[in-house]
Amino acid sequence: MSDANTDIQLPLSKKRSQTAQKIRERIIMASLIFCAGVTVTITLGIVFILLTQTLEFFNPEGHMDGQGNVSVVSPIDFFFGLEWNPLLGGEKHFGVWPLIFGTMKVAIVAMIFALPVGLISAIWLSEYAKPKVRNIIKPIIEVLAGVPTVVFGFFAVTFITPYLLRWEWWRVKIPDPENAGQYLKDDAGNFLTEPAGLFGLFDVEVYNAMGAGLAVGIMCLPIVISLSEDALRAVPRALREGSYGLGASKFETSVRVVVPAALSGISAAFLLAVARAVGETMIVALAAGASPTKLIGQGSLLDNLTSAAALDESVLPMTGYIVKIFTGDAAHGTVEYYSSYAVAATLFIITLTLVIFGNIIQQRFREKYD
Amino acid sequence: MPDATPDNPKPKHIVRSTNKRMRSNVLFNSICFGATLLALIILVVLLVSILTQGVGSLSFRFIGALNSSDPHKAGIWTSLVGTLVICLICALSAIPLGVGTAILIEEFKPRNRYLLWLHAIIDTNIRNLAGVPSIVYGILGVTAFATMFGLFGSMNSGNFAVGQTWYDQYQGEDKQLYYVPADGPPNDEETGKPADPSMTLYVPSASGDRIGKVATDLEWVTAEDIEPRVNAIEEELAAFIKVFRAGITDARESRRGPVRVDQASAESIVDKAIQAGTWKNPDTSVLRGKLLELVLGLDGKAGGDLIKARKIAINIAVDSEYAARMPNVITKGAAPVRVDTKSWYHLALPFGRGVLAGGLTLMLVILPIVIVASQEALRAVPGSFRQGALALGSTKWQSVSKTALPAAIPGICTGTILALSRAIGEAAPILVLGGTGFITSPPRNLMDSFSALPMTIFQWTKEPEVEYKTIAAAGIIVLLIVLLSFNAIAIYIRQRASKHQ
Repeated sequence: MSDANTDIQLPLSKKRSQTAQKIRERIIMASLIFCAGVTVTITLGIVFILLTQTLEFFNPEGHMDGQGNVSVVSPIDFFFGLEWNPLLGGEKHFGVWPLIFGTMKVAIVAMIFALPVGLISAIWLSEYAKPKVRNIIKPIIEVLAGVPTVVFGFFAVTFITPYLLRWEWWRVKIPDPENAGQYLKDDAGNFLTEPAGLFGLFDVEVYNAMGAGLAVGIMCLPIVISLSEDALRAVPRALREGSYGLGASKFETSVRVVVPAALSGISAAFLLAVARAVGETMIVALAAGASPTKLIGQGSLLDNLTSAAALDESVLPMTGYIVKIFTGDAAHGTVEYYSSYAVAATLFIITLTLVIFGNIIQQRFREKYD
Repeated sequence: MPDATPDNPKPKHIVRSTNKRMRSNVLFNSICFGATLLALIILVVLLVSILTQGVGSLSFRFIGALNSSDPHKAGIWTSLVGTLVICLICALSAIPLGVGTAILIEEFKPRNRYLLWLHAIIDTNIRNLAGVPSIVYGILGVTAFATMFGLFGSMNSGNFAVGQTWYDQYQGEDKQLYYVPADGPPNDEETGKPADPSMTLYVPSASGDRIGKVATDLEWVTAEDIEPRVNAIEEELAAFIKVFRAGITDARESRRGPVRVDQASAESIVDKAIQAGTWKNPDTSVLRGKLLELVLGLDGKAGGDLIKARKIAINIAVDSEYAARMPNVITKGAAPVRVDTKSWYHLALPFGRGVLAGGLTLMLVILPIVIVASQEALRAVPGSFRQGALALGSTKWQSVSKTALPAAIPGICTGTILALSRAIGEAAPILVLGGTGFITSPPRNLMDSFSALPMTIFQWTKEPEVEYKTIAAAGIIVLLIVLLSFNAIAIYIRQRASKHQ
């Protein structure tokens, strides 16, 4: 039979030299190790660059600033300073806390929106939704996850801030401060108008922490939903059935059994979402503004605290500052230029800590039920 | 147990009316549903607000036009090409590196304790890398690719380049440009070096390329040589000048009156003059057109302008003859301009803020995503595949490359395409790398500066005018269409793969 023939010939024709095979395997192994080495090099590269440039920033000899004066910044000034004004003339202060506050304000607004909405959406998708509905809604949420962040920035600038926060569609006449009962007019005799604001509660600026924060929250929403839903669905059926067996309703099962059982996964999702919000750049570069939060020098303690917590004003988060420097606000080698590396190092440490904690918690919860 | 009914008041804190509990269940259900609905409503509002703002300025002209500082003329083509080029560079670098790393981590788990420790470090490292903000990768990209730690000199004058040819550009006497191959980039003392006639010369080809056919009868003359030649031509054109002068003098109404010419009389003056002359350049149509324009311009002018017009006519005629009689003449000692042509693979160290650096920076951003996706795809392949191959006597690599990898390829493709769509939408690292340079043309070589879709959208959104906001919205629509088509490919691959299994 021809079958028998091929059976004998096939191995013969495929026979290869053992040595050549071994060398090939070695080369492949080496190239695979090279690939993995690149990823390790990337991490080391980030740490190396941020570390050396940050140390250069703290150089005791100081650096020229944009105005030609030599500025010396000590790590204590940087990590504990409450004032940040590197791009303006006069006495410069490089305390990073105003930038951290800017980042925190945006991230807190984002999380106040994204965490509850995301978590209860995840509960609905995992516990209540019928499989058919879920199969429709999940891809739509994935579309939201795939929208580039610059689009959310555009949305913040053209929709959230003007329509939701400033209420530009409801403009009111501006009262004349000199004549009571009169309104300001322009040269042509038309009344000048201004947006009414959120029932006049605040006077929201064009660039503000709240608009940027809401956009960041929308961006984080799909992350919170999908990671929390994964955590909720990883809870074994037996736990739910036990709860139903004891007569609990779906609500009680979800809130008292499933959510606590998935808590580590949910907290991991929250931490990773916070890390994303802290590191988000394009939205804050477009919508947050460029004034560092003023933590001191506003008068009384209460005034300082109000200024620190104000959400309706322009803020400068850490990522916003880095973009400002790298898109041409400072010349190479100046103290402002190096300060962006120190800010980037701070940002890197904060996000890395959040991500590492998130991953540790996630790994734990995975081990628990697998 | 009969006493476990809800009505039985056993432990006090559990007692609730069933009605109330059911109501709270329904309420919770509707709150949860409302939250999910909110996410969907946000997506709809987002898309509708962008569509209403942008759809008006979306047109084929907008897609095909280069970027411009005028929002009504600006188009997206520059950034679209830039985005596709950096995406290609990103894919070509990230896919081999990412898949290779994933194979090493998933398929070659070491047995040695220390190696196992190293293995775990790499694995954790990749998971944490995925959470690093993209702007930090941008900073890494600037330092590692654009400036290369300053190891190869500054960005503008690196000391290594390939795919770049330098020429000395000379202006010929016939207004044509000639190129002599030169050694390298200009130094301050090197510019202005006198021409060496022994070198091979290139004239521009019709397509505007600098490298054209070799000029054969090339002549290098000194500045003093040119004057007698011009005089000689003027003498030869004596007959033409005489007839022309007579023609425009006749066109005056009286000795002191203004010149009166119309189309017909101007044509007859010019044609008569041209017929009187002897021309080396057989094609006199260009000359005729220029002279006609000159004569028609004389209508209504006084005597002084006639003398001027005569001189101009002589210059036009001499120029035309000069170009015809002396092609490929270059004045000796003229200062050349050092210019270069770059082939698409032009490569210099350091990379500078070009497309190559941009693509590699995006590679840094998506590499962890590609690795994690490939790892998951490889993990999903049943171990029996590999064990079967190993049992048949294959080596470790053979079992991976012939069984596990092919089975994982749909998953890897899906993950990679989704990672690439992340790269397309990523703006922060490119913004840090490319700055806010105003780029109008798409990149022509690997070192050329570029603009990408999200970067252009960012720059347009930053502008305060409403016109820029509308074209930014139109740009977003283009970006979303590109992303949707990428996602559609990923979904298609996923579905095809699930059908096969």
